[in-house]
Amino acid sequence: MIRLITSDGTVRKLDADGDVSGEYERWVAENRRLAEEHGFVLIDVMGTIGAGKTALIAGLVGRLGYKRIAVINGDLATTVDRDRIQAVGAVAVQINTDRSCHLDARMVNRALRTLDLGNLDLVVVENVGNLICPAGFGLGSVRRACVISITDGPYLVRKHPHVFGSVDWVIVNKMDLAGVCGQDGDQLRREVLTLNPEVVVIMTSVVEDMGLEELAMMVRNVHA
Amino acid sequence: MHEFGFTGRIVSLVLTVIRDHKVMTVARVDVELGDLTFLDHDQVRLAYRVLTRGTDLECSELMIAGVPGVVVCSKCEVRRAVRRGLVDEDIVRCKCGGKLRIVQGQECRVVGIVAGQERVVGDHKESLR
Repeated sequence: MIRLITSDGTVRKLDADGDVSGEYERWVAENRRLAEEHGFVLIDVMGTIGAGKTALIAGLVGRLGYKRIAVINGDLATTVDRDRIQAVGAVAVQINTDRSCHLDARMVNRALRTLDLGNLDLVVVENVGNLICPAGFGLGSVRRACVISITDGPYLVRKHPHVFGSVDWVIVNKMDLAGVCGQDGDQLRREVLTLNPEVVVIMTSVVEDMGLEELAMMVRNVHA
Repeated sequence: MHEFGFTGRIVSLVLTVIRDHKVMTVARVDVELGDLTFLDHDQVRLAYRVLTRGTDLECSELMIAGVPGVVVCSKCEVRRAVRRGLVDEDIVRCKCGGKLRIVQGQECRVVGIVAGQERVVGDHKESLR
């Protein structure tokens, strides 16, 4: 309801919805509805730039055992990530955001509608690399994951409380480089759990095939 | 960063409302903006000035009222306010260890439109604001 004060001072209540944030939530709900109606699992993967999000998703595609997987890749430019996913046999749609720093629910809805949703078991949305903005823009997914790299340094979690507080899974990738950069994966795990005790933390390395089976198991256990 | 996107939605919504309800001129638009949207009020006002150029809202003022953030703990159910500028771990985890849920402060809504003055000049109306 919007209050209109006319030029003579009369106050009228207009039959109009002034909820701007609610408009966004309707797109979120619509994506959730599509997933439920068509019976696919929708997972949102956020993370830092260069953390290895695409490599992890590509690594999971063959391992999951699902026949019908689609990935929606978000990047400012290029189709590099889409091409990498297609190369491992999954359907992939690239969204180029130009200068926008995150995917929003409406962009994802448009991409979903290009897919044969009735023939999918899993749709993974790979968000634009960014730990700030995506945290505040849900996409309607049933699980949210954040991929960081052990090379991102020891203060990353404390500096980005909102994203780590809003996700279900935190994946610390590139663990093969932990020794080289002198980082302690267990300390990072403790920091994440101190901030958000309900989150599941998994240490991975795509190069050394570490943690991928554990991650695949978690994905398999999610139902639409 | 997101101020232009949100403000664009505000402008679009108000333009639709004044068209549908035949409001000739607008002097002021009142919005409520939650502190936990993290939108900067000055940037929203700047975006409003830019985005309303050449529209029926060009001469109107945007009045923003902040809505304080409120969180509730999922474990001990304590409810408390979160002040803008002091939102770090306090917004995610309660002192008891439970996860906090935001129940207020993420709003962005148009709550009022103040129509401008009009006067009749010859055969047509002219806006005075």
